[in-house]
Amino acid sequence: MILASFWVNQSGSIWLFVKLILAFIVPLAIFYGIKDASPGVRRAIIGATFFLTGLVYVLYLIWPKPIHRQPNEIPQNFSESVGFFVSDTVPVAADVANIVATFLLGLGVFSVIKIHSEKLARRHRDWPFSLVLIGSMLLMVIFGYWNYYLKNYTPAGPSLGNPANWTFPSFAEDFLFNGLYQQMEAAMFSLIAFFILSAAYRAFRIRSIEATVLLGTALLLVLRTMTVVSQLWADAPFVRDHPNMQLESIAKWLPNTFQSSSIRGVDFGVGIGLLAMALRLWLSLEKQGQGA
Amino acid sequence: MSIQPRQPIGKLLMSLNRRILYLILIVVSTVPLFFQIKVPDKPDDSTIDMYSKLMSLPEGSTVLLSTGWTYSTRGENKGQFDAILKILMRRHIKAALFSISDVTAPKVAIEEITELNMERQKEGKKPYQRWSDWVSLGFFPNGDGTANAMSVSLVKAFEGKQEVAPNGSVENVFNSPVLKGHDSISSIPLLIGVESTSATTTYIQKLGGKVPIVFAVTGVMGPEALPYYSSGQVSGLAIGLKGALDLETLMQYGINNPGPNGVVMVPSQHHAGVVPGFPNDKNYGTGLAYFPTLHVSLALLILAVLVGNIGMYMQRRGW
Repeated sequence: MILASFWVNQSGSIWLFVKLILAFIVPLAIFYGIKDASPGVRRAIIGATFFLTGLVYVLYLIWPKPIHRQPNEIPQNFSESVGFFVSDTVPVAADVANIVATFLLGLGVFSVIKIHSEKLARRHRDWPFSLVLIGSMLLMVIFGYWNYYLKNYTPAGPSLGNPANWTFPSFAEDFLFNGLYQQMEAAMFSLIAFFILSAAYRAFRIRSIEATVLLGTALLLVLRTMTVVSQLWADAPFVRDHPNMQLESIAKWLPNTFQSSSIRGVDFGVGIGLLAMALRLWLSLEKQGQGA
Repeated sequence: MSIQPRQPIGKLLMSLNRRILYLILIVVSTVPLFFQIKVPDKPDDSTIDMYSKLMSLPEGSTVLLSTGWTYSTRGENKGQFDAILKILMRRHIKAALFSISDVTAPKVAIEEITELNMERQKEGKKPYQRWSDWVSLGFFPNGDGTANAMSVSLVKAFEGKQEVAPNGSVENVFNSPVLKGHDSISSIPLLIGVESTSATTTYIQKLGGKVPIVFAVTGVMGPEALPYYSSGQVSGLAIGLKGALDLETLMQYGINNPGPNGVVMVPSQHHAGVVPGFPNDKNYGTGLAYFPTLHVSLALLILAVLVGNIGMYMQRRGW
């Protein structure tokens, strides 16, 4: 019963406040405990945390799940209590993981500011690039939040969805995000076309049987994508009488027969490897990094 | 004065300056963008399945729209995303937008909706309204955990997410017409993923079997998603720029759907039955606009491989 209602508390209830305070104090205590503890104790704390968090997902996978559960339903037995508890814990665990992952973004921002402001202050080599980086970041943050505030917390907010009603912060944010950042991202990615062309010309050589098979297969799939060629091929007299010889049929057969099965094989291998690694981490058999 | 001996043709073919190659690529990939060239297209079965799935959704229903693309893959994903949104808008299907792939993806998607709304307003159509037609749930950095939480309860997975209601107040997204009453993933008729990352695998692992799923992915991610389509875990799949053009073609002509002159432009033995298109609307977008560029770029790629190999062959022969 306690298990089943652990994550469910009425807004403003005393239990909610107690849990909130505990949620603040316990992690801090663990954090400071780890900081000052001996390597052995530290390993034990980390191992126990790993095991408990992993246990939630293991139970979620194997424990019978509540079916057609009603909002205020009371569990009838131990099995249902655990099922309810695990089902309620998974979204909370996701929230916690999302918050922790968001802190990583914050850590990244902190790291960028620290490294580049030092570079700037000491006039290291290429310091103007650091200036541009920090300046761009600040501008994006200022106009991003300014526009966010206008959109969400002012009476004019809903109308700002239409560019005709934009004011300076909206234009500035649009210029920085769409006009600069996104275009630069697209430009960076488009460089791949040049690398691919250069590599195709210099490296894609028929030097062995394997390379010939690879080249032939790639050629068929590329020709299939070129629908003009695909259509001309389909109209050829021999192909018209033998539909299996159509580029479309060949291009369908190749991925379905060879590519998908190979990828399934690779995925299966990766899956087994991940399972083994996850078990090692969950049961603290993986020692590397835990004593740090 | 000494006369330079002429270089053998083989060596010449193998040592083309890369700057010349790059210049040819720039010219070849840019020129088709200035002309409206209509390239023939025969939609793939996987895209036909995706289109028929989108067209079979009940009007007024709500789909989950996962967006995992930014301008780096705009060439492929923008066309796919626009086509999917046009179908949703025209069929009055509501969408809850979110991302587990990229922090900027929801913003890019919102900009795209704004752009399509401007197009709709020009055509005298009702815009796709935030709050009543779509909501943005934002970015979730922990994709696995979020997908797991979605499988337990949508309310708990998206708890605390807010949107500005038409009256200006900030309200819980579950009060909006889009998500009202959708507590469980089983109440959602479709999860659509427009992805450039392996978020596809996450959805299959965590939500497969709990909600029908369709994906629109980049050409690079196609091989990874294809096994899920052939196994039936994904109900439809649009791959790369061809997938975008396929969706646009299907919107124009439908499936097994006779046109005004009685000719079926997209016949399909794979899909039994007739699925209508939207012949009176503007269906073609970046899928068609970019496809000729892809054509000539691929032709250039084949030519480059051929030149390199002919050069190698001639050099071996001492020509």
